[in-house]
Amino acid sequence: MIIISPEDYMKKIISLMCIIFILSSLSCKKKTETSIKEITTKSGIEMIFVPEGEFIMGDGSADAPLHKVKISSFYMDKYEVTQKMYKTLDLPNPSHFKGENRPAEMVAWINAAIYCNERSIEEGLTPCYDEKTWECNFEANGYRLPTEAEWEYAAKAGTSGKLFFAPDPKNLKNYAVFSKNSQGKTETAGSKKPNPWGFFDIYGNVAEWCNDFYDKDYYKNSPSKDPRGPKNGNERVIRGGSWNDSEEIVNSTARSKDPSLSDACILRDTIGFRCVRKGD
Amino acid sequence: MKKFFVFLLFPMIMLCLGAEKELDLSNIKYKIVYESYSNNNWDIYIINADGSNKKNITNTPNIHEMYPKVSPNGKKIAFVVDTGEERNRGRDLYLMNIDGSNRRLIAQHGRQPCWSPDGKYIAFTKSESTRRFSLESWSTKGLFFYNMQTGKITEHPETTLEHLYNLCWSPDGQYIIATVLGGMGFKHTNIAIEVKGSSYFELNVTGCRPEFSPRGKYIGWGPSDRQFNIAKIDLSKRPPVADKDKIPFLYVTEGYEVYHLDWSPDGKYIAFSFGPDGEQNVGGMAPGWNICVAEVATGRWKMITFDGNHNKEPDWVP
Repeated sequence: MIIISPEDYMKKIISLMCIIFILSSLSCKKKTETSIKEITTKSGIEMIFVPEGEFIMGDGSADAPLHKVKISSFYMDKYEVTQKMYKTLDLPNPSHFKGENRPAEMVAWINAAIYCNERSIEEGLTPCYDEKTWECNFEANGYRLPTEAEWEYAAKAGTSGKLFFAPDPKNLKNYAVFSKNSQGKTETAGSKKPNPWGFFDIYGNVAEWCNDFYDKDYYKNSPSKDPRGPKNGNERVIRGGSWNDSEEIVNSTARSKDPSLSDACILRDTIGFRCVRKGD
Repeated sequence: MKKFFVFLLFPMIMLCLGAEKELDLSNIKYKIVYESYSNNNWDIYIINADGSNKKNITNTPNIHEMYPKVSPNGKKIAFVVDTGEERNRGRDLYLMNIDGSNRRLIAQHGRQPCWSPDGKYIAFTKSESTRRFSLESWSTKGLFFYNMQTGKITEHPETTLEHLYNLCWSPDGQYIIATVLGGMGFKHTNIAIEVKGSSYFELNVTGCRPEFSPRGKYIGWGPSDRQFNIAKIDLSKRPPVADKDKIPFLYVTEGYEVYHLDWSPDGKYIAFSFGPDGEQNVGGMAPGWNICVAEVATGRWKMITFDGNHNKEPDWVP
């Protein structure tokens, strides 16, 4: 029979706790590394992997009541799609404010979807959009526009509330190209600080198309996991605000919409987009 | 059937309200050509201005013909032909006789043809992307001229021209007016381009698709997709169109669109496309759209086709 003294017993307990602590730390560290991470796609575009998670969507306003949403993992472009990225695919660049590293704008929703499909084809992935119906196949491994929920999850980046930075609105100028600091046009993509997950220009520069049709009451009945917007509509959601928008729009939660799905007569030099694709 | 009824509802209401009352088009001596889609195929039709005697002049079940532009002498039609499907679709510029005979390719990737007033040249643009097809009217690169005598193609001296659509040659032969979107530093506007020089300038007209009246004293255009305006134009002045001269000509209610205005050779009428919200681009789907004719002096108008077969891009035959 082995008799353990109280001192030895305590030493073993402490050693065991240390081992558990170290293992726990390692485990946490590993989890962090597989959480937010940057990748570069086959065509050389930087994206950020966003792990599955849960967040409070909305801001409590009439068209954005607070509600809990679960999101599956996805990759999202680190920057708004630039004119250089557009031209790499030999697609017509409709932008008003020309510049390779400026975001593409004047992009109709349909042309943003076409870009997604072409980028998918370029990388040997399955295009998400049916170009006759413009329905999105969320199971395809190609590129698509973010759902409104994915966009807000990425914009909030683990924070809550309207702004991802310390709540002094004066800080907005450090993170966004918007009406008070733009020169009446877009700026080079990534000219301001990124959000906590590394997304640049998630606020401002160009407002970003989402895949969802817009419905002001959608949040009231939307599914709690991976909401994908109403089935039909005449307008699509845009998020994040632009170089021409004020603080009321340039944030994580303000919902906007636009009807320029394909009509060249109403294209806006304030609207661009970034792409996502589903997580591994 | 229900949709068809809805498409007809608005014009029928307009008829009842008297918007088209007493408009008699039977004395117009000119015909109209236009693009139309049925049985999964685009063809070019010719029709009397009062809607009688409609005839398919291309009649090719497997080839898409669109955007007919009739020569000043009324004997030839420049038009575009689409082959292939979806992203592999291709668009080329062709020429044929007014009866559809003797068709021939004149420019690969050619789009948006427009005749010089003397009929010696056809101005056109080319598709911008060689990677995939785009239905967008603005998706063009350059401005080119096809010489009807030699068959040779030359490019405009200003080679940075891009994203032009709806070319219209001024009756004096000096300028081509067009809409530009996201090109040469413009967002979306209408410009005049010197035919033999390299300068271009804005017309002071927002919207799209400006068209000269036969004598070149007026233009008509769409400030939105539900309205046409008319204004005096003088390309020797800056701006060529004064704000005070812009006159609303025709307006339709929300849910409907008007596009593709074209003046009759005598300047008394305007033909246009009309229908519920649809795709106005060449070869775009626009179910329920029909060809209409309006009287310039009174603004009264009436539909001259009723099949709703995506009827668009009317062009008068001189």
